[in-house]
Amino acid sequence: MKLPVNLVNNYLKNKLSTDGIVVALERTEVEVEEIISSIELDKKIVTAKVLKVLPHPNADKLRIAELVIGKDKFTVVCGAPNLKENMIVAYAQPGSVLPDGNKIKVASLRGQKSQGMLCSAKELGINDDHSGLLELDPSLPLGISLCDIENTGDIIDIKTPANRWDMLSVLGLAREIAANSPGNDIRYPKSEVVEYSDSELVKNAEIGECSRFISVKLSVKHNSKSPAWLVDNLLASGMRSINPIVDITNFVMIETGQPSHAYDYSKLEGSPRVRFAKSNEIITTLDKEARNLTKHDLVIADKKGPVAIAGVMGGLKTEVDEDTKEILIEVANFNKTTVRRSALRHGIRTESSGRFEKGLPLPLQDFAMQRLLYLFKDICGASIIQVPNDQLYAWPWVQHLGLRVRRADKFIGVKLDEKQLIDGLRSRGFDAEHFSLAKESAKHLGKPYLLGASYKTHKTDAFDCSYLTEYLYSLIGVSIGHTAKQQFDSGNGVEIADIKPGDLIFLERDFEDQKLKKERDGIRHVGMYVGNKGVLEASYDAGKVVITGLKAFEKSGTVRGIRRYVSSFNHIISVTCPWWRTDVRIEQDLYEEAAKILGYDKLPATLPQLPPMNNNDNTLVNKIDDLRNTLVGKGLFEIMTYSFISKKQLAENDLRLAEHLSVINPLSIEQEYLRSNILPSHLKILSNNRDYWENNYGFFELSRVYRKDTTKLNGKHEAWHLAVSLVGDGSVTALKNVLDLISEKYDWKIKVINSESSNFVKGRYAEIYVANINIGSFGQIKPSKLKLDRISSEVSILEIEITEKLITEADKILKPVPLYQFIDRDFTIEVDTAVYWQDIIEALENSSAVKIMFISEFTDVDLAVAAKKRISFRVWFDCGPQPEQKQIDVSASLVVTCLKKSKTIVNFKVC
Amino acid sequence: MMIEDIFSDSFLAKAKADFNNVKSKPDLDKTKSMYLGSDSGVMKGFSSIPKLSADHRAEYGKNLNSLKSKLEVYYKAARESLDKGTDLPGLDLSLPGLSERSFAHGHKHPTSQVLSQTYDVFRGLGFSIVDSDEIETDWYNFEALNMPKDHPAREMQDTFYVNNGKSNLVPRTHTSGTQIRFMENNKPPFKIIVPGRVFRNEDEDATHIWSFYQIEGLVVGEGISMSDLKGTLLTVVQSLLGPEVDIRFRASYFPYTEPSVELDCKYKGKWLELGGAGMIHPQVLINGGIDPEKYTGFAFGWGAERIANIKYGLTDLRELWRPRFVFLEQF
Repeated sequence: MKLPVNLVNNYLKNKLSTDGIVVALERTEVEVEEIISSIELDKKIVTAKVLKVLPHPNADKLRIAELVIGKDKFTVVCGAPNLKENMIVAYAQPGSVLPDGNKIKVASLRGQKSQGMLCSAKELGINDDHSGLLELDPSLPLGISLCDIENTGDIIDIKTPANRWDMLSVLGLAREIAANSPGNDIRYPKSEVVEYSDSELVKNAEIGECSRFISVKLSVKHNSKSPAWLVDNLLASGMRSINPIVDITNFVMIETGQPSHAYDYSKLEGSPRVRFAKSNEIITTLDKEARNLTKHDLVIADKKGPVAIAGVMGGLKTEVDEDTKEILIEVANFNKTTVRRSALRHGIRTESSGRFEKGLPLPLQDFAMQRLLYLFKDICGASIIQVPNDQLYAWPWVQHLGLRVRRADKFIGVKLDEKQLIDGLRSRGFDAEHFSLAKESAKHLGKPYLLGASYKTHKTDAFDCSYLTEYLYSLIGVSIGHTAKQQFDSGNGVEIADIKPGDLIFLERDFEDQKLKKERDGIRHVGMYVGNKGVLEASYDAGKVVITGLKAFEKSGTVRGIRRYVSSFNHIISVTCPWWRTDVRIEQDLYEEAAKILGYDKLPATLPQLPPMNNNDNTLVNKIDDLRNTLVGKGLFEIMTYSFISKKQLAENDLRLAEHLSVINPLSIEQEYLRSNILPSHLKILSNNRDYWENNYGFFELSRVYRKDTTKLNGKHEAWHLAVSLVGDGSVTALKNVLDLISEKYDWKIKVINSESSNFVKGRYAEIYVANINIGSFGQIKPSKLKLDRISSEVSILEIEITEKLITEADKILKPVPLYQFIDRDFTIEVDTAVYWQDIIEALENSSAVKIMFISEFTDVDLAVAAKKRISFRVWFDCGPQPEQKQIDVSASLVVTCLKKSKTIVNFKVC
Repeated sequence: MMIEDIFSDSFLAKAKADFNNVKSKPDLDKTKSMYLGSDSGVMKGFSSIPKLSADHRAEYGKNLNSLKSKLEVYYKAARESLDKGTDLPGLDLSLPGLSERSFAHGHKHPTSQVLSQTYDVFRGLGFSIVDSDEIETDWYNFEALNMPKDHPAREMQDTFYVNNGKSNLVPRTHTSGTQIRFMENNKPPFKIIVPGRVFRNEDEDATHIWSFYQIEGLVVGEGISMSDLKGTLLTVVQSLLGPEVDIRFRASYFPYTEPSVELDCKYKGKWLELGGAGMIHPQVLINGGIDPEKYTGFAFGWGAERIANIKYGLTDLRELWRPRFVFLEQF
């Protein structure tokens, strides 16, 4: 929202500088986004009077203005359509400089001498109006510099919070500024007191959607041009001037926050109704768009159809123009959700709908109507044809709250000064005072007893027993229920010996009506203990509010029980919220006010006095971070890539579309699907880095991935994945090295099974198992999947699903360290090429080997022809501190026996 | 290339040779587009058919089709030979991995570095670090945080929606949904942080990214105050950015905290926006199954990239998510 400094200063008792306003705003929820500074005009731009207007002999569109300042006369060639005799204009004399930097000189325009230039508002940087010359006030003296009279003032561009309708109004902002600048106060603008009649101008058929509808029928005398102050303020606020009627409604919206609408009465056919549109109705709105309405659009309609979309935009048919003589003004309170949905449905978020969406309070409509009437009379010479009518369908309730000061202290973390708090609340428009039970009771003593009295019907002029107690508690924001029975049920029980002021005592008395007796559980009367053995009650017998002695009160029926609702009445500030603060609804909202009154800069910095959490080193995030550090330690880059990928990426890597969650409203086709694997992202990163200087490098990513899974809650599966990509010769064996490293860290007994995949080179792809669960795979990527220029650039990728269990390291408890050396033996065996190293490891699980180390693998032409290879490895045995040869031989032969027993290692021979 | 050329033997021979010489995927793509792309002679030939006289059309079309299928055969052969590569021998992948690479210095991602430093600071303050799902339900992301449907505050966070086949889910717009999830399963007192990816449906530029890491904090206990919030944030900000850094609160509004504040830090003489914070709204505590009369708490959140930006003087946040190794090498 644009806040013109000059405008807001109209509503402040002490005018403030732009800086002063910014400082005050920074103490509120308003965010100052930008300050648009006004322009200092050149002194040589002065006021002048147009004496004569002559045609230009050589140009149709140009005219010659003869100006006068005192005795001096000047001629200026001018193209503005609104140039006329006797008008006061802004005259840029030769030698002056316009805000845009243009230097004004004596010039010849189509053969006519021009001594300078006459300016539009835009040329002066006052606003965006370039339709004609700036028309100045005719009473101004001539020859004075414009910079001395015309001060557009700065404009502050602000962002307001979603819960504050009032901050979308200059008055609302003025209230906040006043409260946050010492000694300042708000000055309300002039308004016209309105007397309402009962005769309806408009029929409201949707009371639930439109809780208030104020209307008035006016006749207007002047509707040709808005006064300059009005035009300037609208322009500074980012709106255009249209005609005085529209300008007034727009200005009052900017000023008060209440949108209103004016209909040309002569164009209305029959009296209007508030109703929902029918599904085939069409309205052409003021922006000249024909809009198909739905039955969810609330409209104002005449006999022929809709004339406005409620709260969003008026219709073209009943638009006011310069010929308008009679208008119907609408000031309404429409349902915020209905307005919002209509605005969204039709794609027109207007200044009006944006304000309705926040939810407007009921007193605002009356407030705005009073201001509208004043301005219509003042500017348009309006007179009332039909007395204003107010249709109010909801209760404009007042919010009372109790501020427990000692609780607020604890909440904010500093001992609050109660006086400062009360003063601060009052300066923000709240009624605030110390709550004193005795004082409050005294106020009501002697008021008449009336069965069924309530705030709506009798304010505080009369009470019955439960209304009195309900009312007293409402003052501190505690809702105890309306009937004695409800009050009895909502409090905490207290023994008579422990009774404290504020506790309620409930009595059973006779009921004539047995049904009612059952309904009320026999409870007939309630009074409040106020101390000094006195009970405050609205007494049927006495016919008024009295204090009765506790004993006498007890004897007047059977005591059913005593109830307590608050632990203490000490240090409670009773707060009544002003009608415009619809955001303050709970006690915490007052704590916020308290914190702001204190000032956040005064808040001390302390640390929570809580014990440390006991699982600090044990969470998945920590473990993943540890894994991350391990991989960085291996010399890899860590990367992060987006979780959303394209349909094309899925297709290129043979991932099934149907298994992927799709984005309903993607930013672009690059981000239409949630990835189930990191692999496609890594291939893309490679192609983005094809010019990277390094030949051998690797990178990894630890991220969550997602896929559809109907068996799971919310139909999706999320998991952490680790992907490692290596580039360069021998990438796949180097990648296995990374896998070995991780396996060793977490003590995984991995099993690697060669497999096939369309993304990987045949014979160079394997799936990885830990405890018979497939945790992922790795292999060398097929060249056709790579968008690399160098064929020599091999790329291998590993991707595994990480679970917390998988990356939890076993507790480390020291096993005895051997005090002697193990004995080692080397073996070389010849096996089928189809035998894998893993088969050998598995075969030797039951041997007495304590450690096995791969040495080498060998093939020559002969072996290759026979589909054979030789594998050498070293085995260590634990033969005790004094090994005997025999024992070593037994161990060694056990190795061969185990290999022979293996079902996967057939046709092998020891070399 | 002239249209009449394409039926010559030399054209076909050249095409065959070109496809045979394909050495890489980009090479393959380039050759394919040269002979079979929309600007190729063959494809242009097809589009010229309607202009031919009726008696020429059939024969010309037939010739063109036969040429096209020959070219496609060359293309497929080139693709297959590319995948076969130099007939790579199968490997025993169960063998211990051998790396002949020289030792290199790894590079932890700058965002990760910030995250790890943040974890360290909070661990020191006795916090737990909690992991949570990135795809949330509307309830946890919005409703339980006092943002029912049509709440204007939802617009503060442009939202993606995801379809799981049955209902719509939300790639979380903030980590705050985890507040409710954690409260549902844990009894106060507790102090946790929740780091993780969040997603906002908004256009990217150098200072805005649609996907980023957020760090959410949640502390609930008896007598937790706003001063505790300030002290915690001061400690953390100074630990991360330096002991000379000052912080300030500015009043703000979030539906799930009351009071709400914006957190700014003064870094190298300039006030910078860091994140949002506040005391947990009593209704949010109730939604998490916690009695707001007995317990109070605070919550806060900021972007890890924001800290990285400040700390490392980044000029374009997008670099963090579209990694170039020449960029990452510096970290």
